Amino acid sequence: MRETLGELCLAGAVVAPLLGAAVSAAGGRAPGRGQRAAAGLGWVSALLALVTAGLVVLGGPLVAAVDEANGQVLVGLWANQLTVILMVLVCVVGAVVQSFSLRYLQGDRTARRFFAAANVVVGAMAVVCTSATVTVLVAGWLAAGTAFLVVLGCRRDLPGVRAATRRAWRMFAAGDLALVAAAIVVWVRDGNVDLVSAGALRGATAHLGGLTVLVALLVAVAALTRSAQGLLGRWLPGTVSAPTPTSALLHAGVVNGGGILLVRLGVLAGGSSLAMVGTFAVAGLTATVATVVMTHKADVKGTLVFSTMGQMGFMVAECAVGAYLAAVVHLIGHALYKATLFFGSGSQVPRGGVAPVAPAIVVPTLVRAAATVATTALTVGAMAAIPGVLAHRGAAVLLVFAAATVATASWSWWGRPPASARLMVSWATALLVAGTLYGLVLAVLGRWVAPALPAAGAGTLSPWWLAVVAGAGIVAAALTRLPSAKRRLTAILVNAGAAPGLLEARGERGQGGSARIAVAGYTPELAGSWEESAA
Amino acid sequence: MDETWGLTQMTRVEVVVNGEDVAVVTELFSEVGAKGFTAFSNVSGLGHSGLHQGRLLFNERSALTFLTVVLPAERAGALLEGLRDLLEERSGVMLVSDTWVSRPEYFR
Amino acid sequence: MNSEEPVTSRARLLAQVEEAARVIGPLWPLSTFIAVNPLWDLRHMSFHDAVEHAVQVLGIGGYPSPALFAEAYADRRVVGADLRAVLDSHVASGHGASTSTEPEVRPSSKTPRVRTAAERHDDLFGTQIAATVDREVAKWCAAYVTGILPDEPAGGFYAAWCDVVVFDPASRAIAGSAGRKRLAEMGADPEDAILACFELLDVADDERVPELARHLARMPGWAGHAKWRSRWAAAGHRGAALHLVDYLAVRLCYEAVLVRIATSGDLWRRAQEHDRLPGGSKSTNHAAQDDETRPGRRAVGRLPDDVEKRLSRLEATDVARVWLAAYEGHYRDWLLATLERRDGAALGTSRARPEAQAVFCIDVRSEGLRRHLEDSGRYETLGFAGFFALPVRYRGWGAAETVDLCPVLVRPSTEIAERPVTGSRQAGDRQLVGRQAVAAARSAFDSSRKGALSPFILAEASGFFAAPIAVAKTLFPARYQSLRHWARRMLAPPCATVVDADPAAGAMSDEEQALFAEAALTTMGLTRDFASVVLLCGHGSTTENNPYASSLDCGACGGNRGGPSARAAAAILNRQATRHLLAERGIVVPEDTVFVAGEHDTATDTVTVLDAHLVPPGHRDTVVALQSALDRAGAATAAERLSRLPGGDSLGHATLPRGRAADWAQVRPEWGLARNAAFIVAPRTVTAGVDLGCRCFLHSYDAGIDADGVALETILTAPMVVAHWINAQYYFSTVDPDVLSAGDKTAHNIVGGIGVVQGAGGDLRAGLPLQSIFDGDSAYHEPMRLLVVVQAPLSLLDGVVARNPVLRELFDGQWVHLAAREDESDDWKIRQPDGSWERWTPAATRTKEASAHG
Repeated sequence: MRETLGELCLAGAVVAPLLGAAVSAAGGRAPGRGQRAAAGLGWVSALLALVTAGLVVLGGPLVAAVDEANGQVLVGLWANQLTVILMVLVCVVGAVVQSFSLRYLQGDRTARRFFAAANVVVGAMAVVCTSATVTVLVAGWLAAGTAFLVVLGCRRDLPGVRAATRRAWRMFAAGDLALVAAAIVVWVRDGNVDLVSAGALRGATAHLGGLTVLVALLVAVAALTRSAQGLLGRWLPGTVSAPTPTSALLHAGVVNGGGILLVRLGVLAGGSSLAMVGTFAVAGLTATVATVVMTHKADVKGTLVFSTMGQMGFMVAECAVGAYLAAVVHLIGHALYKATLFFGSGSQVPRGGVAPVAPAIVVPTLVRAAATVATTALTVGAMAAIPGVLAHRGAAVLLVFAAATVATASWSWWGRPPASARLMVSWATALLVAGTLYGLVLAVLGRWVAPALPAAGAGTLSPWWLAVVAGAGIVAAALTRLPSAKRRLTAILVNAGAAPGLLEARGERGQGGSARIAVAGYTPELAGSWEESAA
Repeated sequence: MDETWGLTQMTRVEVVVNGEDVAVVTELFSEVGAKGFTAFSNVSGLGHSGLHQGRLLFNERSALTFLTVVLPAERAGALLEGLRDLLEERSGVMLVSDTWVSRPEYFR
Repeated sequence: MNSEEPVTSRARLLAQVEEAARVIGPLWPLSTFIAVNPLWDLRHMSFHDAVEHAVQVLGIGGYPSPALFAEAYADRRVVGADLRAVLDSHVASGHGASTSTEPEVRPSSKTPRVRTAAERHDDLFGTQIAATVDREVAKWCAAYVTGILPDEPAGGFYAAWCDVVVFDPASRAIAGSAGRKRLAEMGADPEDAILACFELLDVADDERVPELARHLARMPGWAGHAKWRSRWAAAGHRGAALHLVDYLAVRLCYEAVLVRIATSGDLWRRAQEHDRLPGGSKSTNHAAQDDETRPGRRAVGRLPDDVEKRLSRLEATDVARVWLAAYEGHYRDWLLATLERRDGAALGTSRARPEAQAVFCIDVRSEGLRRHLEDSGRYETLGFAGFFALPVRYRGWGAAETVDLCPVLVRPSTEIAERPVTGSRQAGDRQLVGRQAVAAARSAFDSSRKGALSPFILAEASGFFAAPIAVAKTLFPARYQSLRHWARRMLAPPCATVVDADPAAGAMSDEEQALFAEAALTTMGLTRDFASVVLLCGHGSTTENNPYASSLDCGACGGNRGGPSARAAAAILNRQATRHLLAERGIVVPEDTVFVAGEHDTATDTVTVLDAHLVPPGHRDTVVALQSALDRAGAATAAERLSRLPGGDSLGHATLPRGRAADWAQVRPEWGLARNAAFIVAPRTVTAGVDLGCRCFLHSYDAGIDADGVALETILTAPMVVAHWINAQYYFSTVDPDVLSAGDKTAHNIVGGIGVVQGAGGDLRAGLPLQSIFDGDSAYHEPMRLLVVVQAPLSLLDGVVARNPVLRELFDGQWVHLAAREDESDDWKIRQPDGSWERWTPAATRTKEASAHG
C-alpha cells in the first residue's frame, strides 16, 4: 500500500510538470488559463514530492521503475533520503517561479513558451535528482539543459538574449557531450548501471579500470560547465539579459545541477584523484575570484551572478573533498537564497529620507573586537554543540566559514549599535537562534541524508583543502585593499565583471554592433604600431 | 585715470540669461580664471525676445538672472568668445565695458 | 589648425558642450524619478522642428507609428472628419508642404543623419568602433557612479578613468598596449583632452557641436545622468559626480585613438587584404524586425477618398503630423463638447456651507477620487499642486537625510522637520532606536554578503529562512505585507509626530509662512467660504519590488510622497500667527476652520487622514464622517480603475488593489499618469459631475480674485510646465520606446540605485518602463500633446503669455495646445501659433458646414 502510493506520488511529482508543460503549450499566449493550470500543476508536483518525502521518512526508499527480465532496473525513478530532498527543492522552486511569473510576465507574448519550457526544466531536473539508472540521469540532464536554453531564448527581442543563448548553447553542448561520452563508456563496459543498489555504481567504477580517470574527468567537466565554473562558466553572466523569472529558475534549479551530478555520481567522479584535484582547483579558484569580482559589480543582477559563481565554486569544491552533505545543504540553501534575491532584485533603489541617523554611540575598536569575538564564539559554539553537526566530513573547516560569516556581520553591527541594551542583547540572541536553527537543520539533514550519500572516493581530497579556499579568499580581499595594487586590480576586476557577458550583450541593441570586441580587421598585435600611425 | 586715483583698468562683463543657463555661465567665469562674480536673480526687462517677467513664484529656471564679472582685459577675450558661442542660440544679453578697480589683486 | 589661445578654446568648448547637450534630457536618479520632456532644451524651436532635429541626432521617429493611428482609426478614435478638418487648416495656414527647410526625405529606418567620426568610419568600412566606445564608456560610468572606480575628491570621472584605463585589459585588447597608453595621455584635464581629440579627428570648428551632440545621443541614458548631475542636482548631492565634460572627454579619447588606429593606412590595407571586412553587415534593421514580430497590427481601415487623395500628396512626415493633429483634435472636440454640455446641465449648487473642503493634487489620478467624493456627500473639492506651495527641504523624524519636497523647477527655500509630539519624546526615541537596529542589521547582512569568506555560509543559512518568505510573498502578498508591518510596529513602534512649523524650531518666519499661505489660497481660489474642515490631501503610491516606485509618487513633491507637504501646509495654516497675518492681507479664515492633512495612496485608492491626534475634539465627528466618505469614494475609484488594469481576471487574490500594491511579482501596480491628456485651469464648477476618466490635471482657479493675473501666471509657469513635462515624457516614451522609454521591466537590472540597464549592462535607460505605457503590444497611453484649457479673460491670459518667454515658446511652438474662454457664457477659443484666437468648432460640425457649402 505504502509502496504503491509512494510510487504514484514519486512518478506524479515528475509527471505533473511535464503535464504542465503540455497544458501551457496548448494554452494562450499571455499568461492565461493554460499558464494558471501549469502553475497549479507545479504546486501539485511540489505537494507530491513532499508526500513522497514523508513516505520515505516513514518507510525508507521507494522505487518506481520498469524492470528488465532479470530484475534489474531498466528505466525508473528512485526516492531515497538524498534524492527525494533534491526533488522537493526542484519542484518547490518550479512552483514558486511559475506563480511569480503569472503576474510578472503579464502581457508577455512568449509566456506560453516560457511556462512550457520551464516546466520541462523542472520535470527533467526532478528526473536528474531521482533517476534510478545512469542512463536515465543523463537523459534528464540533457533534457533539462535543452529546455533551459529554450527558456533563456524566449525573449529574443531583448538586448543580449540571442548572444547569451548562443553562448550558453555552445558551452552546454560541450559539457553535455562530456557527460554523454562518460555515459557511453560506462554503458559499453557495464551496461545500464543501476543507481538504486549501493554496490552497482561502485562495482562499475572498479570495473572501469584505466578508464576511471577519463570517466571521472568527463563527469567533472559536465558538472563544472553546468555550475558555471572557471572558463566553462562564461555563459552565465549574459543570462541576466533574460527576464527575472528565468534567472530565478536558473540560479535555483539549473546551475546547481553540477553539485547534484557530483553527489549522485560521487563514486564515479571521486574515483580519480586527478579529476578531483582538477575540479577542486577550478572550483576553488572560481570561488575566490568570482567573489572578489562580485564586489566590483555595479549592477544588482551582475552582483548576484558572480555571487552564484562563487557559491557554486564553494559547492563543487565541497564535492571534490568528499564533503557531500555540506554540498547538498549548500546547494539547497543557496538555491532558496538566490531565487529570493532575484525575485526581489527590483527593490534595490533606496528612497531618500528614510534611513535613520546613525546611532550616537561609537564603540572603541577594542570593545568592538571583543564583542565580535564573543558573539561569534557564542553562535558558532552553540552550532558546534548540537550533536551530529560535527559528525560529517569537513564540518570542522566549514565552522571556520561559519565563524567568518558571523564575525563579519557582528563586526559591522558592533561598529554602530543602536543605543539600547535590550536590542544589543536581541542581536546576540537572534544570531544565536539563527545559528542554532541552522545547526539543527544541518544535524537533522545530516542524520537523515547521510546514509544515502556516497562515501568519499579514492580520489577525493582531504576536507582540510577547503582551508586553502579560505586562505585564498583572505589574500584576494587583502590585495584589493592594497593601495599600490588598487588601481590595477580595479581595472582588471571591473573588466572581468564586464566580460564576456557584456561584450555580447551590447551588440544587439539597435545602436550596437555585433559581438566582436575589436575594430574589424586588426588585432592587438597589429594595433601595437600606434606610434607610427600617430606620427 | 588710474594714475590720478590709484585705480587699475579692468574689463567688466555683464550677462543676462535665463535661470537655467546660470550654471554654465558661472562655469565659464571660473574656466577663464575669474575670481568671483555677482548675480541678481529674478530681474525683468524688455528685449529682443520680448518681455521678461521678473519673479516667478515657482519657476526659478525661467526667470532672468543678471551676472556681472570683472577680470583683466587679457582674459576677457576668452570669456567673450565662450559667451558668444553660448548666446548664439539662446536668449541672453552680454555687455562689455571698461572698469576700474582699486584692489586689482582681488580680480587676478 | 587652431590658433586660439588654450583658455579661449576651453571656454568656447564649454559653450559648445552646453549647446550640444540640448538634444539630451536630464535623467533623474530612480530614488526621485522625474518625468521630463526629453526635448525640453530644444523648445526654442517649434515642436515639429525639435522633433525633426531629434530625428537627425537621436535617431528617433518622433511621431506615433502608423500602426497606432491605424488602430485608432479602426476604433473610431480618429475619424475622417478629424483628418479633413486638419487638412483644411493645414493648407489654409500655409503649413503645407514642409516646415523644415531641407527637402530631404527621411529614410524609413531610424538611422540618425548626424554621425560621429567613429560612426562615419563604421558606415564606410563596417567596423564596430562606435559600439566599442559605447560599451567601454558604459562600463566605466557604471563603475564610477557606484564608487567602484577610485575617485579623488574634486578629481572627476575623466581623472579617475585615466588612472585605471592604463591597466584595463579590455583597452589593450581593442587598442593594443601602445594605444591603451595613449588613451590616458590626451590631456591633463577633460577640456584639453577633448580639444586634442578634435585635432586628431580633424573636427572642424563648425562640426564640433553636432559631433558632441551625437556623442551624447549615442547613449542618452548616461549622458542624461551626466546632464542631470551637471545642471540639475543640488550642490553637494552625495555620490560620485559624473559631469558632461568628463563624460565627453572619455568618449572622445576612445574614439580618437580607435579611429586613428583603424585609419592608419598600412593597417587598414592589410586588414582589407585579409578580407576580414564584414561588408555591409552593419546593424541589421531591427525596427523592421520588430514590426514583423509584433502582432496585433490591424490593417488601416479604408479612408474616405478625398482624405486619402490629399494625404497621398504629402510627405511621410507631414502625414504623421496630420494624423497626430487629427488624433489630438478628436479628443479636444470631445472634451470641450463635454464641458459645454455640462454648462447646460446647471447642477443645483447649494450655497450652503459644505461639510468639508478637500484639496487634492492636480495629478490626473485625483480626478476620479474627487468625483466620487463629491458624489458621497456635501463635499467640495479643489485641485492644487501637491506641494501646497511650500518648497521645503523636509527631514523626517530621526532621518539621516533630507528630501526636497518641491517641483524641480524651484529649490527649497527652507528646512522643516518632523518631531514627536510634545510629551512623547520617549516614544520617539524608542522608535528611532528600533529603526537604527533594523538598519544596522541590514548593513550587517550586506557586509556579510560582500565579504571574502562570509558569503558562503550566509547564503546557505539564510536560504532556509528566505524560502518561506519567498513563498508567502508570492502566494499571499497582502497577508505577508500585514505581517511585515506588524513586525515593523513591534521593532519600531509608531509614535505621534508633528511637522513643526514654529519659526523657533527652525522653520521659516511668520511673514514667510503667511506669504506662502496667501499664495497657495489665492492661486487655488480659496479665499472665502471656508468649511469647518479643509483637508489638504497629498498623494503617494505604495508598491513593492518596483524600481520605478518614485515615478508613481507626487511629481510636485519632486518624486516623493506628498504626505509631509500636506502636513506642513496644514500646520502652517492652523497657526494663529499665520491666520493673523493672512487676515491683514484680506483673507479671513474663520475661527472654526481646521486644516487637516491627508494622503491618497494611488496604488490602493485609500486616503489616510494624517496627524489625527491634532484634530480638535469639536471637529472629530466631521473628520470621521469625511474619512468614511473618503473610504467610499476610494472604493468606487478603485473599482473604476481595476476595470482598466489588465490581468484583473487572472490573478485571484491579487486583483484587489491592495494585493496588487503589496505584490512583489507585480510589474504594473497601477497605470500612473498614463493617458494624461489635458490640464484644466478653472473653477471646479466647470468640470464637476463629469467623468473625465482620470485623464485631466485639474487646477482650481478663480479669475475673479486674480485681477493682475499673478495666480494665473504662477499656474502656467509652474504646474503647467510640470504637467507638460509629464505629458511629453509619456508621449516620447510611447512613440519611441526603443530610445526614449526604459524598456521592459522584467529585464531591468538596477545600477547603483540610480538607474536601470537592460540585461547585463550598457546604457542607462531613460523614460518610463514599457509596462507603464503599453498593455502587451498595444499602447495604453494615447500619445498627444497636452491640451491646456483655461477659463479666464483672454486679455489676462494674453498678458501672462506675453511676459513669459517660456509660455510663448510652448504655445507658439505647439508643444502645448491652449483653449480658453472668459466664462461659462463664452465660446471656447483655440490659440493659434501666431497668438491669435479662433473660435472652436468641432471637426464634425465643420465638415457638415463644408459639405453644405459645397
